[in-house]
Amino acid sequence: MHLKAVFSGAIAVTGLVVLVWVLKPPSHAEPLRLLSSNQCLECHAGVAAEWQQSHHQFAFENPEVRKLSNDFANQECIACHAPRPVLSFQPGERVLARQSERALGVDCLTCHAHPEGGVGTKNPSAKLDAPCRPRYSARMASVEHCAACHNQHKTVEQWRAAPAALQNNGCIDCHMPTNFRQGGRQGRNHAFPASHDLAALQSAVEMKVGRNAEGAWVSVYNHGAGHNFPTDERSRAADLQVRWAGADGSWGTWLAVHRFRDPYRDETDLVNTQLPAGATEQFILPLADGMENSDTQTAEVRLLYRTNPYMPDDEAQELVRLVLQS
Amino acid sequence: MKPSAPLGMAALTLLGALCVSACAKPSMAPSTNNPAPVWSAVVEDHLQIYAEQGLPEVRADDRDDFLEAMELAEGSDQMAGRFRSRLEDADPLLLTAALLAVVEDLTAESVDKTRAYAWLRARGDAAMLPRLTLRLKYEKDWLANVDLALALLKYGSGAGLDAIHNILSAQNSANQEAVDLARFRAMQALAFLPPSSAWQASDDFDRNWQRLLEVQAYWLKFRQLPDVEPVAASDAQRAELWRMMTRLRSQPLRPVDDARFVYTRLPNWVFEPLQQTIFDENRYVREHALQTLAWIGYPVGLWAQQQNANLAVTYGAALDSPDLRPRVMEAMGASGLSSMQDLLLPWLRTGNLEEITAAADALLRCADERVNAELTALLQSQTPLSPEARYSLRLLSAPAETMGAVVMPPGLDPSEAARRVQWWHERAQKP
Repeated sequence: MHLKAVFSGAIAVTGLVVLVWVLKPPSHAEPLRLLSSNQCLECHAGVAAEWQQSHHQFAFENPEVRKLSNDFANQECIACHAPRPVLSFQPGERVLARQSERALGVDCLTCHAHPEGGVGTKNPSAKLDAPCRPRYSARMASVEHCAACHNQHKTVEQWRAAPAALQNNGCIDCHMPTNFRQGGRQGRNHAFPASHDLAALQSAVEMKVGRNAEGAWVSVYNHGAGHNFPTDERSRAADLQVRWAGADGSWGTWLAVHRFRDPYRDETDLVNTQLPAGATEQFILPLADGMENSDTQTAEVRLLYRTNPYMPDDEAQELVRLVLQS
Repeated sequence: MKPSAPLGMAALTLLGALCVSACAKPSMAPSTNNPAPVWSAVVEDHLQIYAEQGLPEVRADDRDDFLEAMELAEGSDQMAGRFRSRLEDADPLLLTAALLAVVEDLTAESVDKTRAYAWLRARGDAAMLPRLTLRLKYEKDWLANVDLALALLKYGSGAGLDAIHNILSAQNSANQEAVDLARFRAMQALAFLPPSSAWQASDDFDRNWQRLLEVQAYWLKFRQLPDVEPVAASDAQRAELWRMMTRLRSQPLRPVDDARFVYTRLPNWVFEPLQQTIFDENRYVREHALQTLAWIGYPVGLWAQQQNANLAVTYGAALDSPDLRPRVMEAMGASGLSSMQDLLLPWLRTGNLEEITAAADALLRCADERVNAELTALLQSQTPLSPEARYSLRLLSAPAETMGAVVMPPGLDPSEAARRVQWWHERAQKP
């Protein structure tokens, strides 16, 4: 009887140990005490390499930002250029500035650090036993996650006002397209192609030229951006320009047709001319001095994108150029 | 089966213990044992208290009437005199509110704004101080800035003196006539500086200029004017101050920035309301109030010494909030009071990276030599430090004569290094 009891007890303990083994979360690797985004690079070199190319990485040291923020003497700008982890704020709330490692800009921990420890991911099948202890967070893929910074200049509000078809795309659909890293692993692009990326800019708009009773025209259709074109900073500007071919075939100078831009607050003589998502605008091309009508001359029309309104033409990105034959 | 029961119980206990152990979350940050502070509706409560005070809402009709009166009051005939009397006899709060509405209107004619500033200077109520201070951020017209500075000076604020200084220091420009006129008016404005036993307004520009520099320096240090009995804020001023606090809740940054611009330029009676506000129920209000106190810096510490206000108690209570802690430490350090260091030092030992950085930065601004041994030990330890924290601690522990040789850690942004060097230099002004 005694032996039987011992045997039963042993079986019970063994069973319980097996049960605990099954229930216990995997702990193949010790959890990292997450202190810095530099810790992420070891395992996520591919992602890190993409991020190194991004303007998120560059957010704190970007000379353009330094200039506009008076070298961060305007300290309020630091909040979005070296933010605390977004997940420690309510969805859509503005982030606040962090104290440490500001040179890393908008870094891994900014978007991924989870307030309850570990990192947030939108991948429901992430390896839960990885050292950074990923945990699923639906917010990671949401527009609200990006709104923490990117609504300061109304981009998210513009997206909310966009036609339904364009709203089907959230931020990450255009700005974190799917890509394949070394070894065929699929992931979202952490270079965040946007206003410094020619292909991303070109995918936002379509330009057409033609002639009607009023003269030669150009139209721009914002078919690709889920927000205004251009958006974000008020300093962004997109300029339509035209030049006419002379009788000898030489080109005249570029003439301004239209500027798409949200002016600074104190530019009270200007109005917001950004092109909303899904909208098309058409403009009659101005004639060069001495021209009487546009029918007999060939025109070249281009759309330039500037990251500040004073940027010279030769530094601006040319998004598209079309020829309108005579 | 009876003898197996204790074994079963033991096994179940073991199971429970193992489950608890297996499911426990890894702890990533230290915490204090004190309960988090209690937040309350500080701003809302004060809005209620001062609901009947402050500047009234202005109807467009009132505004237009005052605009017309100001224009017609400019002549020297009897009718102009009648309009001047009408303006002088108007309810001061209504007149002030109407004139502020004019100068705040981006689309208003500049001639109307110029008149409005002049009347604000002459007849504006003290309640205008917060909103008028905000004009310093946006008003570009030099002549208007002279009236603006004098209107502020009248109610104990030296915030506009920078404008007078800048106009008098301005180089020649393409629009020389306008520059000369502004300079002339700025020179006249020097006569309104507070007199002292050693200075009375006169035609001696050099002496007047020296007095301007003295008053500016005193204002920057104490946020009050020298040789003038400080005047307590009126209820109407406090009402306007608390109304502006609601801007600190804003998600768009501009209203927040506007309020912070004002609070960093108001006389030192703003310090107490700001300290109350760090316990507001709204996270953003708390954060921005603390940030404002930090931006003001040493004047807060000097004021606390003058008033026997124990900032260690106020800030110490807020320090128990993990979310707010780095910002509290920033305000503590910015006060320059070495009495803060005992509250800050523990976070160097037990804090997370943010807390260690905030504590190190704060100590750089307020600590005295008693912390040196601890800093040296920390710098030689394996404690993970951010580049910012490491540089702050190196600067603080380096002898003054070798400060220039302190090495910048890798990964530190040069502007962040420069900020810390500036803090080091500012230590000479510590309370």
